Amino acid sequence: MILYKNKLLSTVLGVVEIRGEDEFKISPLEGSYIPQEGDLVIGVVEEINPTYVYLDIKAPYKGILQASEILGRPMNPSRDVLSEYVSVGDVYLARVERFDLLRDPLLTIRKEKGLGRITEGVLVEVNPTRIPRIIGRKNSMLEVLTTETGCDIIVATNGRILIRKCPTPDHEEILIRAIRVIESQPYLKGLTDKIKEYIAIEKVKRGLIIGSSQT
Amino acid sequence: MGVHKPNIKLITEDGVRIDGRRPDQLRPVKMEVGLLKNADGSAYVEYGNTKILAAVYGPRDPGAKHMVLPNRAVLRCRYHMAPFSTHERKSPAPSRREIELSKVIREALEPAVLVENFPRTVIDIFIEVLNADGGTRTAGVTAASLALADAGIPMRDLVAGVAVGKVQGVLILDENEQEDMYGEADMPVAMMPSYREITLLQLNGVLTEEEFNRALEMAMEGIMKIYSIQKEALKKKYAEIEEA
Amino acid sequence: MSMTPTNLPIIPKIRKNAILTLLTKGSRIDERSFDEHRIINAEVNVIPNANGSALVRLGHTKILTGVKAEIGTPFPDTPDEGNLIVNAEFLPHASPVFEPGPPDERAVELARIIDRSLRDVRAIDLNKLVIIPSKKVWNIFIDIYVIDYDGNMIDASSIAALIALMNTRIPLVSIDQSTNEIIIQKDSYQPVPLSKKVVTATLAKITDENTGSRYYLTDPSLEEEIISDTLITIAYSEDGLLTGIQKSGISSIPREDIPKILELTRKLAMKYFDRVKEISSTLLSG
Repeated sequence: MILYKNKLLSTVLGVVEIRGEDEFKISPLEGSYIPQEGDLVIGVVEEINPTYVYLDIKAPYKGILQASEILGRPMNPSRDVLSEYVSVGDVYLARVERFDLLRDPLLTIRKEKGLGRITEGVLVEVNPTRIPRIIGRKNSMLEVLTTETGCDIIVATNGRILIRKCPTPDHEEILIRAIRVIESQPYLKGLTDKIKEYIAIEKVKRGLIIGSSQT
Repeated sequence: MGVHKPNIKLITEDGVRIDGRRPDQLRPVKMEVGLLKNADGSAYVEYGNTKILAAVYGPRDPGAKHMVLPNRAVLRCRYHMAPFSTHERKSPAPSRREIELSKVIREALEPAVLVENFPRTVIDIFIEVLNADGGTRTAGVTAASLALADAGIPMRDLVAGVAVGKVQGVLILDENEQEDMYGEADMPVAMMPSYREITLLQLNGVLTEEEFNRALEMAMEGIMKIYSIQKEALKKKYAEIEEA
Repeated sequence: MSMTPTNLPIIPKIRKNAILTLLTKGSRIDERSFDEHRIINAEVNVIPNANGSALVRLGHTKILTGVKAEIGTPFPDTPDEGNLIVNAEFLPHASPVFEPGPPDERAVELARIIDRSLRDVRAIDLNKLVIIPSKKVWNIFIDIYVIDYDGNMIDASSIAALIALMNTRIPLVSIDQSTNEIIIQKDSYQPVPLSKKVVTATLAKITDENTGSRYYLTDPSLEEEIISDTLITIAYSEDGLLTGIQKSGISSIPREDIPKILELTRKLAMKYFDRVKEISSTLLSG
């Protein structure tokens, strides 16, 4: 936002939420992902260098994963050949450890449980600006998605969603469709309830539950 | 500019132009945003028969490391006319005019984009003239600005542009190809309207200082109209959103 | 494709601050006032093989302009006119940041600015350059060579083009009635039909980020150009008509600054004309 002659001008196309007399928020409708320290990201290996790899994290900056992170121990340059441990196209769940705009973001997969190479599941790409809506206030939307579809999912801040496990392929399909609905109408009022309804209707269509939508 | 005119009267004594417009009237303007799937941002703009397609990619990782700046994004801008866009087929190779206009348009957008937000990246802006009937660079800047907004790239303001011409001594707004070719002056102007800051200003032809001042005022009025159409076009893309 | 320049010469911060401090006190680093131009010197007919030539120095900026007149065919939509073609090149000699190769966008822009300033006001009477109507005309090529870049190439080039044109001689020709051959007469010349004199006047806009003050400096030197955020060029004919405008640079110009810009550029252009007149009379008497 820019303050100019007593007017506040938004720098992006977005939706304005007025929350009180002095408080309002602008939610951008478009934009690329700009990494921030602490973000959970899903990256795809793009380039392998002798002591680190570059990951595509859907940002104008490539994520760096150092060899020591991949090997789990300090790298021995005379013995270790990184390309034997990682290939282009490998997918990793990682945290942004450091990013200061002067250098590319540094990623880690060791500092907490659950991070590391992703070997199975379905990857869904979404517009990064929609991620907050897919999570929802206090995880409300995320809960609806997981509870109503029974799927196990991880939502990364950089616009990638990993669907790890679903009860049936039908449930998976419904989940993906629900995500697309949220993506196309993120600022609709009462979206969380609408999505709950949507999922129920889709389940009925596929014979996964019987009868009309249950709320 | 100043080509020998066959005996066409470009404007009558009552101030009616060859296409029936009054001197201070814009052509019908049409704008559409987000029509391309792959581009990060896109826009299609018509000023009468001048048709422009603009696309934006970025901010993105540049290919080569030497093409970046450490503290801001680099803008790359290409203004190009399709071979079928002009009366006589134009060779696809960049002409000197396209080289100059690519620079002039890039410099018209630079002040508006918050490039400091994305150091060491590149923002690509592509402007293609699909049909040329005068005012291609101002329609081009207008379209590019919409495409940048569509891509979610933070900007100080939109940039809106229009040209003012002079035929038979009369200043006219948004001249078409004929009026430009046979007229005495052509002054393209683009601005960030909320700040009253001029980002593109050129003159081909001859004006007195007094005519220049009047022409600038006329351009600014036209620009305010274009600006509100731009904002409408952006809103229209999200028309289904009821409330936040 | 046009790209934000990534190879501009760098000015050390303390130098930039020194320049800004001087500006707030109303002076410039080379002690000029805000509306003065640097010293202009010119030599003409320096290139014997050209029909006209001039070497102009504006401060340390040096421009060599050569004019060639060649017999050619008219363009189909202007059968009764000769042609004017303007080209500009930045020699790699001129600056550590100029690279050899095809003209870059700034050279193309420069040539087109000079071209438009002359063409649109019909400074050269192109219809006096016809040899055989609809068949043979004189083509006037103005080639602008930047050989040393110390700021404000545009005005220096415009002055060089003007002086070169003022000293260009085109051979007189006669037509053999029986064969329709064009015979170029030896040692008989006519001057280029220059009916109006035109120059460009350029200002550099410098913004002090700390105070928000904006300064418009006439005939910027290289350092002033580097720390400026935009240049504004207005071409004037001697009778005060605006024959061209070009804003170039990555910043914007507030609408409210326009009257000041008009005044500064007009006065600068008139000063250039005065100096060109001085130079011409010196050359005539010399």
